[in-house]
Parts: sequence; structure tokens; C-alpha cells
Amino acid sequence: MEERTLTEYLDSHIEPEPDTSAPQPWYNQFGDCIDYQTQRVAVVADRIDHHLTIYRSAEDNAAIGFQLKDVKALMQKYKSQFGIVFSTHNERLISVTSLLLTAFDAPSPATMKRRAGYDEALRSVSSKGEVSLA
Amino acid sequence: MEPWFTHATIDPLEPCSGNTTKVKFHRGFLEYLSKHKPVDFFNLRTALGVLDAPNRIFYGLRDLNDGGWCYVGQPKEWWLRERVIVPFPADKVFAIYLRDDLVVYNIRAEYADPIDTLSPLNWGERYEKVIWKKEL
Repeated sequence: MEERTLTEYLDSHIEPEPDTSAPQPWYNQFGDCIDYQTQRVAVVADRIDHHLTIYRSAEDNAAIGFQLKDVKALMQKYKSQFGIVFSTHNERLISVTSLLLTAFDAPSPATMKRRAGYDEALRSVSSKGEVSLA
Repeated sequence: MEPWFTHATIDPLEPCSGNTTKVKFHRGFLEYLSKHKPVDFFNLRTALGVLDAPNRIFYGLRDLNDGGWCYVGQPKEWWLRERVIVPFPADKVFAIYLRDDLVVYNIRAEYADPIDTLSPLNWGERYEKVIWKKEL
């Protein structure tokens, strides 16, 4: 099977095709992480702790999203304490808010930056419900 | 339709040998960037530049899921918004995260470490080891 390079792909897909609907959290199966970004601007990753990274606008440093890592490992480790998995007929949904709270509960030094980071993430995603693991 | 797209870079298993290997981008990842992070879609070209000339390569990124690679560089320019190219800030680095099997799952700018400005902030705590440094 012929292999294609990313350069060839980008040469044939010069422009992105943005979705104009409201931003939604996405489960990135390739990195086992949840990714969420509310504005179409470059971001600088502000690492809060092992699990959470806040995305800050490269223009004004405002928090405009986050990445939450090790989703499956968090679910496996804490599933006995937290009911964070919801299954439907054809997909598994997880509550992003519950997962953020689970990550916050993981052992990590308590700092004001960590508390503020989780607060920013929770507020940004509060109305977005679940994300599919499909 | 073939779902994988590749790019050649320094082989992290033999970083000093001069050998290259191919890292992989899945079509699903590229389509997600196109739909939901269009600025990052443009910055895929920034990522290719970093893979062509990284300043640092790190191994071992996580506590719960061991392994993984991080290629880090400082491009001259990047996309701040769609079709808006600006100089890349001197106090940042551009990082590309890969799984053990060389599948890219994240590209992003990060704050540079104040002591080693070619590495991400707190690199000593975040990565298991530095496996390659560019000779300046």
C-alpha cells in the first residue's frame, strides 16, 4: 500500500474546514486525552499538573480551553469511587466535569495555581455535558 | 483510504546515529484539527519544521501511562490565527507529543524553561530523560 506523507496531505488540504457549531470537548483516542478549545486562536499550553493543561490564548493569555490526560487510566484507577461512565447502545459517554473532579482528587501538591486551573477548566466546560469515547 | 500520514525525523531510539524514522499522523487527528482547531491545523506546518530540526527530544512523559516522546523546537514563525503568521515568541517552545509507537497526538506551544530556554518549563520533573540535545 502506498504511503503518503503529511506534507502531501497538507498540500492537498491547504485550508482547514472549521466546524461552525459550538465548540465541544473531544476525546483524542490517539493520546487518551480530552481536548477542548473555545476560540480559534493559537494557544500556549499552561501545565497545571500531571493531568490538566490549560490552553491560554497566545494573544491575551486568557484561558480558552484545556487538555485532560490519561483518561482511561483515571477511569480505571478511580472507577470504584466515582460513577463517571455512562453507556448507551453504541457508545460510551463520560462526564467531563466528573472526570475533571476525579483528576483534581488525584494526589498532587495543593497549590493556588492548581486550584485556579481546575476552576478555569470546570467553568469553561460546565455546559458541555459528556464526551464520547468512541 | 489509508488513514496514516508520515514524516521523517531523527530516530529517537538512535538519536546520534544520523538515522531517521517516520512519525505518523492519523487522518482522524488531522480532521479534528481541521474542524475544531483550525489554527493548529495551519501549525501542522510549524510542527513539521520542528520535526525537521528539533532542539530537544525527551522520553517518558507520564506517570500512569509510561513512555512517549516529545520533540521540541523554536520555529521562526507560527500561525497566531488562520492566515496570520507572526514571529514565534522567544520565551516559548513548540512541542510535538508522540506515543511510544511514534503516533503524534498533540502539537502545541509551551512556556520555555528559564534556565534551559530550548526546553519546556519544568522539563526535569515532567520527562524521564533527555535523549537528544541539538549541538549549538
